[in-house]
Amino acid sequence: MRIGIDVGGTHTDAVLMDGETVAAATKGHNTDNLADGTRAALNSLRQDHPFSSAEIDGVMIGTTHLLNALVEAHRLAHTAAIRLCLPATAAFPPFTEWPQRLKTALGATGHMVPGGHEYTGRRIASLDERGLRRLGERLGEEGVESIAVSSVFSPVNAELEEQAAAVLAEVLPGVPVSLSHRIGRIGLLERENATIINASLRLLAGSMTNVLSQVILECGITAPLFLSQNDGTVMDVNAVQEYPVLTFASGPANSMRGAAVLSGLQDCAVVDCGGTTSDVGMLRGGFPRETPSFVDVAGLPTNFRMPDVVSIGLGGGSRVNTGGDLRVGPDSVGHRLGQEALIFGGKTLTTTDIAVAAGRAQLGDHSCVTSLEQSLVQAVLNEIDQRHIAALESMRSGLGEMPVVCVGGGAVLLPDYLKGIGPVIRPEHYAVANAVGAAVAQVSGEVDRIFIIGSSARQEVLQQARQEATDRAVASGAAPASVRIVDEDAIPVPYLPSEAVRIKVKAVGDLRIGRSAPRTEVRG
Amino acid sequence: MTPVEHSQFKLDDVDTFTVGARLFGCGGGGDAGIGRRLARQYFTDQAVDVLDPHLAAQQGATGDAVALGIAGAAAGPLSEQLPSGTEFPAVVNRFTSMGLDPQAIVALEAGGLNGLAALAAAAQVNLPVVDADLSGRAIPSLDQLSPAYSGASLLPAVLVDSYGRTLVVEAGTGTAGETHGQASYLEDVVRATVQVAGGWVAVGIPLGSINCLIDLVVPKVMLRVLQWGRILENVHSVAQLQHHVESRGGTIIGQGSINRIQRPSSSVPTGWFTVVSETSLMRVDMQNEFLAVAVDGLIVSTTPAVIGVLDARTLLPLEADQIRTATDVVIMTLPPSVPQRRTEYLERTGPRSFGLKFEVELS
Repeated sequence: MRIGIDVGGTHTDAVLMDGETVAAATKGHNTDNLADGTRAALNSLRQDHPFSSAEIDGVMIGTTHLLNALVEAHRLAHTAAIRLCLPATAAFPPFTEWPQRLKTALGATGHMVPGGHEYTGRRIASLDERGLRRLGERLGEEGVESIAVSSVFSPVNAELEEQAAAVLAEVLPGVPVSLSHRIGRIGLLERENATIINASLRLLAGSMTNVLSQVILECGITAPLFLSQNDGTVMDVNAVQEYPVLTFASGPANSMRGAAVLSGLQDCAVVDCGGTTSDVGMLRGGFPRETPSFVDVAGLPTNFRMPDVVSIGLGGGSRVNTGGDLRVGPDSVGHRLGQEALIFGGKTLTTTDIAVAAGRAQLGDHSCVTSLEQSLVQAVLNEIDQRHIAALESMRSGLGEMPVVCVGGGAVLLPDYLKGIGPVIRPEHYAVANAVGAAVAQVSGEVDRIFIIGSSARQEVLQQARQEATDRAVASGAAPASVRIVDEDAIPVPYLPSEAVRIKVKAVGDLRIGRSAPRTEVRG
Repeated sequence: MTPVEHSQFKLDDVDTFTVGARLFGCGGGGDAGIGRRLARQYFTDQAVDVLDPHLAAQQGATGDAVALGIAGAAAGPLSEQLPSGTEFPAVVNRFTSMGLDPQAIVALEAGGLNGLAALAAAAQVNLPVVDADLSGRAIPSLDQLSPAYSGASLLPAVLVDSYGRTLVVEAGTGTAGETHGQASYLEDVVRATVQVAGGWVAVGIPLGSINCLIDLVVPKVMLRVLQWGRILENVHSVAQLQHHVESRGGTIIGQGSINRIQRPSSSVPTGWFTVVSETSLMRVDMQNEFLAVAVDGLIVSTTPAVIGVLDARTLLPLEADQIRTATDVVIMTLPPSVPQRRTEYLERTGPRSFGLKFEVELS
């Protein structure tokens, strides 16, 4: 069995999964302390469905802890970025386009030194080791806590990044060095940004994973700990300490994968209705449809792809403001729903109160909302439905009906049928879909680089890329027999000799669970 | 006098222009995102004046125009081996040292990367940019540029790479006047050069006196790109978009989901993808750019019309490498801006110039 935990904005959800069946589920309010929330979730699961340590194969956690640190620009390491590139790229120094607030929080300093490769693998310049050593010494005197190293075309040839890491390890022992070729894909600035974010989160990720490991041990669980990645797959805890940036926005992918597993549907719309917002996305073949382009994170361009999701400021805790024009959300009572909503004896009219008054939900004390005017209830329901219909309309591709799987704590807000869209399905355990998504997650391996086909056949090169992606998935902990290619694209690079093709392959497999987690290698 | 509705490009226009540049890039023309960064880097507080080529001729403007842009594998190598920032000033300085008097910058292509690169260059060297380009929409080859069929020489051209290395390509005595031959030669030289220069080079082409520019260029393209960027940034529904497109002579061809993709390769140079809707099957043929659209087997639009494939949710243009199965798209087309030599333009940039065996369709 596996345990899935999702630490969201307002709730910590946890499930005990036996294969794809939910054996136990729990939903608790967040505390400021990650350890307390996780401990409470594990204890609650055990109370609900007693289990022994030997029965648990793995604990999978999705958390916004690191993303929050970045968005709040809080608890980030004093970070320097070193780019191996000159004379190229000087038009765009490191930290180009970074918000000043974030640069200040990082004590950011960017440095460009000779180095890098051309797309063919030929060196732009050799690494000036003595110069780098002097730079390292200076950064040490300035109190640098973490370093990001990027090099032009390191996804094609990583030797200079590795060489720089070795030099810095000698000069600054104990200062973690994040290498860009391990994190991102082609696209220097986006990869460098992701690497700098990674570097800034290293210290926090170390303490977070130590806390989480300690908590599950205290709860008598010896199974390996994994964290959810942005694409909905998982990585083991040791790798998270080195590559925290890959785990920091797993929420949407987890809830959509959970919706697929709980509903058994592969192609449908998904509404994840939480306390404050509702996220609308699409499932294709059981996986979230992704954004066609890369996404900005905390205002920074990165080369991550995320599930394509529209957020609306309306959830189960949204306030209903009846003074003047009717307004529903975006302000919310959040995790204080249990105290502030009318049905729980509070004084704030929320969307959940309306859902109870209309008979869409059976929760709390119904008598507290019987006096609400029917016209008000109808007007709010209409607002809830129309805003979801508009979001779903913007996501859909066809004109016919489509099923809408509704998950999350606020799922009761929606009716059983959305006019012009289709039936609304609330699968059993809908409220903890993101924890289910975390628990059932697979592991992945990716390749994205330029191959010069030259004399070798295109099919051979494609096969080589597929094998590399598969090997990476296996190295990340996939059971070899389960690995399959889920995404593949070969885009010709125009204007170059012979045939240069940028090949992107993603392989996904089931987690091979053992008591000691495999060492994860994550490479772009 | 031709009214100039927008006489300066400012920093605030760069993001809007980028959206329009992606539309006029027709899926290719390099990474407009890099162009956007270049322009943002050099615009800072200053504005770039826009020069109307008709007005320039009427008013007897003095000095020379030079076309600037980036040639090569802009989407891959350029996104890693980024410019040093000295390339465009080096090109302009070299022209000056050769006796030219550069007083205005023209984009090789307004669409894709190069319209923004021209804005960046103009800001860097503090010269106006001309409301024109040499292509109307993104095109893959220098011998398709308008001077190549307008009786003008593309030489001496100047190439500068990110190491600062400079190559001047001069005309030989035997090739004077054979402008198409010169253009093909320049194309061959550039292709050979990018192989040893990291995948791309900055290219400068002299266009002669600003006074006579109108005979050589595709006019009114830069401001048109900005206008379309503004439209696409502000529409919220396909119905709104349709109103703008149709009132400007264009068509919304259809909307649907991409279901199959065959990317181009060296053995099959023209790829395609298909889009299914409730009522029809659309096919878009593509090489580096989108070249033609067929609906249920009937060709409805071809290059040099502007063919845009928009993300159906955001209504923002997609680049060819963002075309993925299951993406929901809207396909639109706009009539091209045309140079004075319309017949030669359609011949040089029409479907047959890409090896496609059907006629130009601009409706």
